Amino acid sequence: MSFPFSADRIAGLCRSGQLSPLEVVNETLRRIERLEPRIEAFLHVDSRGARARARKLEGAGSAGKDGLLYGVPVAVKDNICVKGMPQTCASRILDGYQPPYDAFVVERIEAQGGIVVGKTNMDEFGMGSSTEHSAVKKSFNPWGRKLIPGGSSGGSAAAVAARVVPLALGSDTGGSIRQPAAMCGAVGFKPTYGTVSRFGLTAFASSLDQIGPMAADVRGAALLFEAIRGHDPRDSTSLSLPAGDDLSRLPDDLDGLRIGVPAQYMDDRIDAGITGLIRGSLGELEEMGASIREIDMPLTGHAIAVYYLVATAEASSNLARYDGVRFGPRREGDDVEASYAATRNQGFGAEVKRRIMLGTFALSAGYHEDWYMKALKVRRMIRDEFRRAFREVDLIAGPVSPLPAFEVDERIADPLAMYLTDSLTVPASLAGLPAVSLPCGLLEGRKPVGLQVIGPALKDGLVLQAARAFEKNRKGGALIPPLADALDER
Amino acid sequence: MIEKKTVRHVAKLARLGIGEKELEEYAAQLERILAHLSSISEIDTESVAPLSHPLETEGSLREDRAEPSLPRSALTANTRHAHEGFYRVKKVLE
Repeated sequence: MSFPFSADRIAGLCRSGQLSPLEVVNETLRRIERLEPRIEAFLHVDSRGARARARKLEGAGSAGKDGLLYGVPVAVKDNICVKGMPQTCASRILDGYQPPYDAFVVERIEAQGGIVVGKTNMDEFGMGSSTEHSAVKKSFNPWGRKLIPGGSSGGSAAAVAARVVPLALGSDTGGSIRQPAAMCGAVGFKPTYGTVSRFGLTAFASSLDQIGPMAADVRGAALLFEAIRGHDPRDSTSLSLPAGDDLSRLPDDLDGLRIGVPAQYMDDRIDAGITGLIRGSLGELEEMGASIREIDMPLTGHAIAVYYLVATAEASSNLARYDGVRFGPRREGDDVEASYAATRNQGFGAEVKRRIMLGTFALSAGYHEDWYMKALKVRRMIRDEFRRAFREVDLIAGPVSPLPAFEVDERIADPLAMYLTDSLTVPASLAGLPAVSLPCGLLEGRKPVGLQVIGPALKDGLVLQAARAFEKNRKGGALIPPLADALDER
Repeated sequence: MIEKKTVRHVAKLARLGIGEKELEEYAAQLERILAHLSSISEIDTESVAPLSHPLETEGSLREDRAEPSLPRSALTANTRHAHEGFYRVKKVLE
């Protein structure tokens, strides 16, 4: 039997005793050892801790067996605190840091019987779209060593797409879950802003940051989302909501669902191969019972400008805490100010410095009104444009990324070109909406393409329902990279 | 549009000790980026209020009640510059 890599099957087999959590952990560690040289997805693997946790689950006998994630290994992006594991957010400025507490989402995963196996690579502090801005190392797309995995949650995306782990956590500020999921051929879900606590997530842009699940399939993503959602008094933007839909029993038909496709998501700025595959997917959604109509969202083209002003302004404030006083390496200068400036110049990478400066500029006296405040006003207009669209349609669909995975080093020297790769993911981020990336085909036989489905605020269940239906009824089947196929050979 | 002296000022505000040569590179890059971002200046926002939180909900605050916090030693373990429970820094006052 080939090893199951879907989370709900692993949990089911562990519950019925056909598999033990320790067997699952050992198999996961074997896969990491086997594929890590190819994908370089992890910054830290905690073999000992994961085995100890599996033994503890087994020792507890039937207690805890009803946990949603019983025996399921989970990889965690390196900007989410796991007590006892190092955490650098792939930045030199946090070298040697070990968080003394668990993030809310990690507490939840463990409470549901999940096993955190390690921390994954990312663009430094989440700032990037290819994971090339990690100060530690580059990660690679499981579909080809020369290809970037996308970013910033590139390590998590590569790990689930390569079937090394069934589940991973990512974080999405402007597309950092959806874009790498699309580029690696995995499922990535960014929940409605406020449905998952940010307690223990290293802040990048607080009005946009959201933790979400990444998985090989929609069921896995839904399972992990169900485990981590819910109110947390330690995050003041965490919403108090009723329990929500039972995500394990999602209907998988699309009868009567109206799906809008913004003309601006399909125009000539998007790679023609991608729009071709998306059109094919829209046709399949129609066959599954949905009605498709074109809609107009003229502000889409301005979302990048709004995003890069708002996100960098918030980042410039959030990253002020890295001064070498309480954690991380310190460079001493002549006085305390000079020490901060030297520590920060040495500790931050070029992209992080660029964004801190852009944000500081947008907030500075003389520029604040024209840049930051202007961006906040257009942000409201973008949010309202979505609200108007959702009076006519139930969901919005289109591509995740305007281009497929590019080659390592291809875009790194041109920051603006890198920013533009986020053009179709930032609109939903600015509006705080739930959005999922679903594998929908390959270009050139080796570059996965993602279909994005966006829902109205708090309709996370509807987005996942459509995702599940698409995945189940799609003709092409799952995208599994050749290197993952070889995993069952021993 | 954006001068090196503006970038130098911004770097100072952001407490980034960036060297002169690097400042020039950043000035050129920021100029190009801002030229692209300036597209929003064409949009009429006359009667639009700024939006800083996407769902516009009230922040929820927990009850103001003292709760146990992490022990001091758990926090100072992350630096080599702790001294008797404090953080050692350069003199701020003469």
